[in-house]
Amino acid sequence: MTSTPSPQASSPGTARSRRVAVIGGGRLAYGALGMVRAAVGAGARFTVQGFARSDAGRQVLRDGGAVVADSVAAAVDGADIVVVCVPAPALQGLVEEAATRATGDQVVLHAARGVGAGFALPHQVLRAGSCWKKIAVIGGPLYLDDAGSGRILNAAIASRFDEALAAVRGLVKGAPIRLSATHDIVGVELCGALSNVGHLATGLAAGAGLSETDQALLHVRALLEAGRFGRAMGAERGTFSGLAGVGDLIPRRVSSQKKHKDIGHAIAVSGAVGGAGGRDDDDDDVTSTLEGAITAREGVRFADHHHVDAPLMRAVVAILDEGKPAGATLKEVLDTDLGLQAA
Amino acid sequence: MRAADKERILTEVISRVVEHQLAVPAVRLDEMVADSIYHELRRLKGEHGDETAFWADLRRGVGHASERELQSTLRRITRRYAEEICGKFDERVYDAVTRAGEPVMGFLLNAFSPKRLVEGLPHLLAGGGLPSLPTVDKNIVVQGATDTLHRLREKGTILLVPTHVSHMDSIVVGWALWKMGLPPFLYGAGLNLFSNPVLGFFMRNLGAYTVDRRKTDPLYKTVLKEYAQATLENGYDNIFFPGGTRSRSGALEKKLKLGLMGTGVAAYTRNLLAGKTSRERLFIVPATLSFQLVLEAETLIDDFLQEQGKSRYIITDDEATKPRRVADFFTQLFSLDSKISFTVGRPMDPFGNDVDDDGNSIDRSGRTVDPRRYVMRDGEVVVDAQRDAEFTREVGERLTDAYARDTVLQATHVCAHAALLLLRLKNPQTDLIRLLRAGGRVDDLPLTELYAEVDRQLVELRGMAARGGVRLAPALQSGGADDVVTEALRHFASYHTAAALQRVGDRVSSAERGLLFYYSNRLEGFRLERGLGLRPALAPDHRSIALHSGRPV
Repeated sequence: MTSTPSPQASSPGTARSRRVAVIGGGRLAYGALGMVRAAVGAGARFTVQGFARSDAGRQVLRDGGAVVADSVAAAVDGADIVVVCVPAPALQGLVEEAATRATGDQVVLHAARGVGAGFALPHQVLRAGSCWKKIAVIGGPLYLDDAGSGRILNAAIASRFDEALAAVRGLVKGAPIRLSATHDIVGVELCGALSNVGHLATGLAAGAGLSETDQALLHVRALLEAGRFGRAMGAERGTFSGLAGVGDLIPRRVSSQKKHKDIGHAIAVSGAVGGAGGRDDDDDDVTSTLEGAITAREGVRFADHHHVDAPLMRAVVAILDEGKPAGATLKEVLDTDLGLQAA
Repeated sequence: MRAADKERILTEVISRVVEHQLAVPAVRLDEMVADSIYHELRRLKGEHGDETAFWADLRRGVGHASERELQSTLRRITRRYAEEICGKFDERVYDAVTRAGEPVMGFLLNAFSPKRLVEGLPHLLAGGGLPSLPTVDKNIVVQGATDTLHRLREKGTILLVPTHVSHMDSIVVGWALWKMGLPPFLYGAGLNLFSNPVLGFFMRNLGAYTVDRRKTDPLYKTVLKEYAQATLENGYDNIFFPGGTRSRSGALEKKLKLGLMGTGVAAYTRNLLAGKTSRERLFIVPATLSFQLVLEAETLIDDFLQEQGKSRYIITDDEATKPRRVADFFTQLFSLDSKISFTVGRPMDPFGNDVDDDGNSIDRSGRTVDPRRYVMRDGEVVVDAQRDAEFTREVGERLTDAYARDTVLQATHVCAHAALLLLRLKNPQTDLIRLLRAGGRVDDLPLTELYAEVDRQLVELRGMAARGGVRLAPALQSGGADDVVTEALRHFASYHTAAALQRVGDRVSSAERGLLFYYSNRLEGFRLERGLGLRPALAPDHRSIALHSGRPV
């Protein structure tokens, strides 16, 4: 237990104490619990229950002041706000477990930066598997280390429901975070998913010896592709030039992005996907669970189906799955017209 | 509407609207009233009747009115609008119609033609029906989740939301409800439809309320929505056409007008807040209408092509206003044994969840959910307009899926789609608008090529139908391509002034490419053009021609 105010021992007041469920035990869960503590310190009334699969994750929850439940469903049961702190590939399994206790009034906040099967965006995965509808995403730079060093965090939050945006604001009230809110959940989720593809591509480019400028251009291309997908999926154009889009490109040190860049770099250097470090114990192909790689693969299928121009994603898939050389393949992408008129 | 309910609902509507208007921040009451007067006098410019006198009188008094007088004026305006909108339901008329049964329903379907009605009246009064009019029972197919619709009516209020292609729709829907043994639903009908005296009489007395789309006063729209909501809260089943107007392009609606439909969540929330425990639920039931030929197709597609993106919202001079055309239409349609399909889709709740036969809301993974929770915050039911608009938007998305799934494709649609795709393919340098207006270098097709393309499309469509992605008319389910083409050509030759497609020797050509486009568009969105390497003809919202429609992929 930390010395900061515990969510369990929230300050007295007339308002009903709101129940928060935190699912996952990684850095995001740590950050979420820190924000809840700050909100409690500012007078909000929250009780927190959580669930994580690993011992380390459960310890993170306990340290953050949460009561650890024995299942996802038990953690979700009766919660007003559910904070989902797992990556995109884990969402499907999570929602299947949570659905039995999910209710339509719950606000669900996630930070996943990827897509599911059929290029389903995270909010679509959550909706498809449960009765949840009031879903919010937190995206943008969200550099958690800033919070650790006392600086203000910057993030975009998106939900189609004002009620969900208000709930998220209430959750972080008192925390050092600057939120930029929008209703465009599709755009913010796309920016997050495509930024991971961009970081994977820049890692591949760095490993293949391409210049910093080329790497920067690959980020620009990722954002342009996000914009094209956004147009096909009904996102707002402005989102891509906002905090979730351009704003996410500038501070490039978010942990998931670093992971993508490192893995891309390792693949390009070793010349094979299996040589990327083998983070996944059961599978040599580390990219099978990597959000950026999954997004690229699903994105190519989506692009074929909807006639969307996606050269960067095609190049990433060609490198990962067809063994094409990273340097030459990415150079081909860089040599093509940026297509700014069509973006 | 029952007389006993009418005044109570009117009072409720007026009270709510006035209260709502007075609560609008930053809008002064005198400006609000002046705004209404301005909109109405502008609409009535050049007219000299009671209506003009009413508004002119208000204008004279508003300049020096006290706050109290302004409130009284606002109430008068609101009452005027509400009384104009308010439909009525006359049980005597309903009993007469249902007792007379089939002949009178046929009579209604032909009520657009007073001359024919007068000719047939003696026979009708003798109880023999109208000899010169068709028996609609054979020609209208009612199918889909009809049993579910019956069961849900016991448990809550129904909001039926059909596709909209023709002025015939409301009559066909009315007939279908009667055929299913259901009482008339309330529905908003354009004021122009009431101009036909015979039809207007029945519409007024069987639940239609008037919607005057020429009125631009925002207050009028508020009253209209509040009226619809109040009727739903009071348990009156309603019909809304979420397309807002008849599809100009002939394509299925993709972009819906959700204003009236949004009253569904609001009515449900109010029922919960009022503690209503019986029939408090509200069910949204999609439905599709499908015709081989559409009465107003020529006018609608002309409007679409001439005013790309600026279609006239109100057309007052189309085929539906010409009795002879209406009579010809039905005579031709029914003489071809042509079927009109009315298909009831799977119901959903106001939050976009499926609903089972017992009225339970089901989430997408098949679990039963409590719909009340969607309108709750911190354990309490709360009113939230933004939340409701968002739920309604989701319902709208699900409706467009339901429309595609439940629409019945006909021979005319497939044949027109196949022919137009082939013409586009043979004229790759000509963009679609030019092709439709001026034709291309190649203007006709060998019949054999048409058969082959129809055959290809039938294979794809039958696959889709087997997966539940669309419904096919009987001729498309099992017939060969030649049968489908023959049936389509028979229809195209029968009613329109120029044929969408006609056979000349061993070739086919279009005498009216706009019509060909119109009927082809019913298949827009099913992506059949991909097999030929072409792009969609229409923009994703089906409201305009796609930018790159002429280009191959």
